Amino acid sequence: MALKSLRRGDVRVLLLTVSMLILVYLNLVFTPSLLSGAVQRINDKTRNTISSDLVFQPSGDIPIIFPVEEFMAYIEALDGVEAACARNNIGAEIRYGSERFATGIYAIDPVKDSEVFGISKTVIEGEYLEQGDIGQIFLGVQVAGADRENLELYPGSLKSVHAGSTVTVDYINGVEKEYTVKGIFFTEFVQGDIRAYVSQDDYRTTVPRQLQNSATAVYVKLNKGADRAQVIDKVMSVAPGQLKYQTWEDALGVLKSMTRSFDQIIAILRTTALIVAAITIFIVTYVDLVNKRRQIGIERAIGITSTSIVLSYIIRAVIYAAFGILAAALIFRYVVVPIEGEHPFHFPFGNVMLAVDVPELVSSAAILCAVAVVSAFIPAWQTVRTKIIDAIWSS
Amino acid sequence: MISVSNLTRIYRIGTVEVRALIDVSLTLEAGDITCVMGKSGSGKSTLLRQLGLIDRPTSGQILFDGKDVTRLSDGARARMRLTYLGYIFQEFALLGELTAHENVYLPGMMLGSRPDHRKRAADLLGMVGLGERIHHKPKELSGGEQQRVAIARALINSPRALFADEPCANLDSISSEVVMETLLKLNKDLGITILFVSHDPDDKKYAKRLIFLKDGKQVAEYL
Repeated sequence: MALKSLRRGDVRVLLLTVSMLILVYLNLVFTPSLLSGAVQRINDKTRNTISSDLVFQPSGDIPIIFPVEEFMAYIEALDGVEAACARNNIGAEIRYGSERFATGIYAIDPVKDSEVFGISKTVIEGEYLEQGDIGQIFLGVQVAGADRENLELYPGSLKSVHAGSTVTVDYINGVEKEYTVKGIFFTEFVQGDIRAYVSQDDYRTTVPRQLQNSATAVYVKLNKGADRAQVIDKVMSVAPGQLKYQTWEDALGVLKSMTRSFDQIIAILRTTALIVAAITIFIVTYVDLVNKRRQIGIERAIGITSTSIVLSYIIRAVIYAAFGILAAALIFRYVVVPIEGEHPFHFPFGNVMLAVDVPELVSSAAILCAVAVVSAFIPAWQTVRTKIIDAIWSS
Repeated sequence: MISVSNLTRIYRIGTVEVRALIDVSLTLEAGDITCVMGKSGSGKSTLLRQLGLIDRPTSGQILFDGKDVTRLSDGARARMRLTYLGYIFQEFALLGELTAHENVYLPGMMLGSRPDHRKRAADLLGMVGLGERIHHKPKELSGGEQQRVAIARALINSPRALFADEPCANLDSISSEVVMETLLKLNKDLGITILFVSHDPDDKKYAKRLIFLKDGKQVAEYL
């Protein structure tokens, strides 16, 4: 009955209803996919530029990890650790002409650092650092400016520093030094692009001998599937009470509240889309039932069970939903995703691609079908409860 | 086979009471063909709707083969309508989206076994003279043809009794004759008990028994 009703019914109603459901399903999956893509981007950028998987820092009275080379060797030998690197962070002000930029300068081993982080792959001018580089500095584009006026923090940057420029660095320990900008990098992540790096070899020329073989933080990159808790336990056991650690989730900081807000936005948009779907199917079903009130009374009078009648409307609603979902899924997969890939949305943390999560698509489809069933059931059930005599003979 | 005792139906419309049936009693034996006659508003259709289990009486009793069906649940009544009774409406009441064949076998589908009922539906349409028109939709059939499709539909589940509510009210005289002859033939060939309602005196000739109603009351009965 449901199939015949659809095949022989008003095709315009069918097309309109299915079109509405296509839009509902696209709404159900598009914005959540975009926001999920944004969250994924933030998480990836944080791990790739700032925190890696784990950060170990000193706690207590001593502000450094010492001896760091032995500590690193221990960490690198642990199961589940892919790579580790040590950094020293020292506050400084970088001057170029009349411009000034205050930031932390990170002293790194360029080779080990590039095993943990991806900054070395984001060079836009000049080159990445090498071991042994003295008097060379590697700047984030938000620091250098590089005459890119469209940058978010351009007004606060050094504006026109390029690879090869000479800048002056005033360290907080009183050391003043001139550097040649070896390279400029652009990670598309503002928190990463406001940093500056020098080699450990250069750092050792600015600090006392006692601070050599030390670090202010050690960063650890884990293998996929590694037991993070176990790694943390083993590292922390080396110097109980003298270390603290941060996971990459902890390092998200203010971005965590943003991702939480995204989750809330997704929930609101989802709920709204489902309500729209429910109302659409309810109205389509209700109007059909009102028009067929007498016919349904006759069907019941000749022996068609109320259950069969209600079921036929539910099946019709499921067919509407199925067509809508299928068409929308194909449009999403073969039109929306490729177009967005060609013209991605730009956020302060980089270009965002739609994160297509298949279980998410399936669950959205299931929820939409469930909503369709309920929205068709309610008016149909109410209609079959009308007395037959009223349905057939009262106008 | 069907026994009715003191059947009363009162409709309440706001504060107004309409006594459509008052203490009607009758018995239909198997194979009877009975006509209920009376003026408009005499209670003929109301009586039929009680017997067809489409409406519930205010008081009284209806027995089908000794079983009291008066206070059955809605589900049980639906089952009775499907398996025991056939109902023919004055206005044919076919489903416009379905062909004649589909209209006839639709009630059969409620009892399962689709291939059997499709064949039976085709046979029934042949029996009522519409074997060549089974794939036509109601709008492509004349009034008489539509009513014959309705008759075939009422027979799909081999009912024990057939109730027809003014089956020829919307038909011309020739179509009316064809429809009534069809009912008569079914009664003779299949032994189906038939109760039909009519206000046309000419229809008396098709009935073995006549029951007259006036103002909801049974006033006469003739054999």
